[in-house]
Amino acid sequence: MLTSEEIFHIAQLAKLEISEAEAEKYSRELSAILSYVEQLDQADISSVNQETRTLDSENVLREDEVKVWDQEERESALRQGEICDGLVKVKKVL
Amino acid sequence: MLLNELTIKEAREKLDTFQISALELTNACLEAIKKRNQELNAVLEICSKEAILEAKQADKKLKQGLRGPLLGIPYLAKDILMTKEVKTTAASKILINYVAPYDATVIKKLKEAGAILLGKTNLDEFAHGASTENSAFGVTKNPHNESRVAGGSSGGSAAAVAANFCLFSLGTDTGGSIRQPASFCGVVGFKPSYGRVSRFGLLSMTSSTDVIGPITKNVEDAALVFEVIQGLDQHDATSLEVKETENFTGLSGLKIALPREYFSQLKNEGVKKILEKAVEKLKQAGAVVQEVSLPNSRFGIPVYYIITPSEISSNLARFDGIAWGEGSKEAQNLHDFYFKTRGEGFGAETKRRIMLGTYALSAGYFDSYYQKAQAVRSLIIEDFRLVFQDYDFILGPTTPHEAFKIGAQTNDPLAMYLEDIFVTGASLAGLPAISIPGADSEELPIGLQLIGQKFQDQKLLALAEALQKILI
Repeated sequence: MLTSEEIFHIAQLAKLEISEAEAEKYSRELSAILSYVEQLDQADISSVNQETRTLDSENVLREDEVKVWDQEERESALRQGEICDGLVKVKKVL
Repeated sequence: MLLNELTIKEAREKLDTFQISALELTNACLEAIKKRNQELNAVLEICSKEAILEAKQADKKLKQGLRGPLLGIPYLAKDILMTKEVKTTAASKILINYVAPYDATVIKKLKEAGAILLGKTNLDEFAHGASTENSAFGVTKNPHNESRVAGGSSGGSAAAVAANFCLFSLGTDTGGSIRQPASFCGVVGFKPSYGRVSRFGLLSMTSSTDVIGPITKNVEDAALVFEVIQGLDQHDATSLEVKETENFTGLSGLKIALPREYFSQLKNEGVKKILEKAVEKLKQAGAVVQEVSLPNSRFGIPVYYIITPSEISSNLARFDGIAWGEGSKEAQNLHDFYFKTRGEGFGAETKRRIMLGTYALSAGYFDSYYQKAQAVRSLIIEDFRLVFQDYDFILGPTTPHEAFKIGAQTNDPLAMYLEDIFVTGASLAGLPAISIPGADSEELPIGLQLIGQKFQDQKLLALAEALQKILI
């Protein structure tokens, strides 16, 4: 069972502002989901090699080389934020 | 018959022989959207001006003698795929005015093929959901019965095809989001193998299962669209070029597996009936249909709801309101800005998933949740591998029942997660899977699901086409 305090802590880690009412709601809902997920304990994972598990895919590698991005696309991407002297402007950190 | 009701194949023939023009076809689709979108809310953004311009260009090319499978064919794209000329919102307040700097690879490929983008379709915010009720811009209604959901997360794309707003649409499928709404709306939804279609320009949700695929009026059309959008892309390291070596040689002698775990959970008589009929027809056509076991399939949803939120909590960390997207106007300092931007910008389900994932990945819980889920995922993949040693395809239901009523499940997130019970397996294993409308659909449609072997997408499409023919 996740308490409201724990929910606030998780929201803190995830940088989400939530209200008291939301914390209470999420405490109920996340607890229900986690208790449903607990059935994974019934799975026998002794045969699974933790090093090579998951997708049976192969790695595809390429040279690490710089490719120039389209000038117009780059400028259009930068225009979405607040720009000051050619740099993206952020709020005061301190 | 109205032009917007044509299939791609039918329209192709008429366009190539100049019985109709791409402009007429495009106008017919735009007219249909204008008439019914206000009630269905399947399309979030329409780009009529650009579409008409593209249609005129397509007509010019056709007159010059150029030909191509999708030249002059109008379509809609899920609003989580980046488009240069039209806003990309992911149905989230945090991206309400976002315009992407470039086209997603699939959009670029379709543009090069001469397909005409009509606009962007509704979805659950960031594709988190199974009903489009999580859209920040309102629910999409099912064209067959407007008190019901269209499914999700590609609900707008499926409803748009069912309502003949376009000739085909693009959806994305992370744990069933193409197949489930296709089932609810009575159309074809194809999720290709993981890696066969580039995700460059798709806003990432769960990078280890996200796939883009077509929603169409029949299987033949799905194959046509897949052929154009598939292939290696230097911008997506998980994409690859596959030359399929095994061909579909007909239903006779084909070995089809029926997972008993899928059947034992079926309570809905309508779904049972449709499946039984498909089995009977397949047997009549000479296929061998046998029961098999996927013993770990019951862990599909619990695995999915650890892995997915975990990847979401990481992928959605980039939405900080700086450099793009909506930022909070009230915050005084950076810390406050992050919290307010994300707290106000994300909807309830997105926040729920971010927090669930953050928790599963946090110190002390990583092994018991994330690592465990990945290990069980290996078991699920192994189950499929074993079945495919003896069988060509797997047949099952797409959804446990027909489309449910709008609002029926919104208060219980877990009940909503269980909607995906038959569709998460293929996603977790990266296998190609397709939902086709089952016959006998009385009032509301229900889909049948076929799952193929990894990278045998064309073979799966060929089987689905054959099955669709004998079901009619």
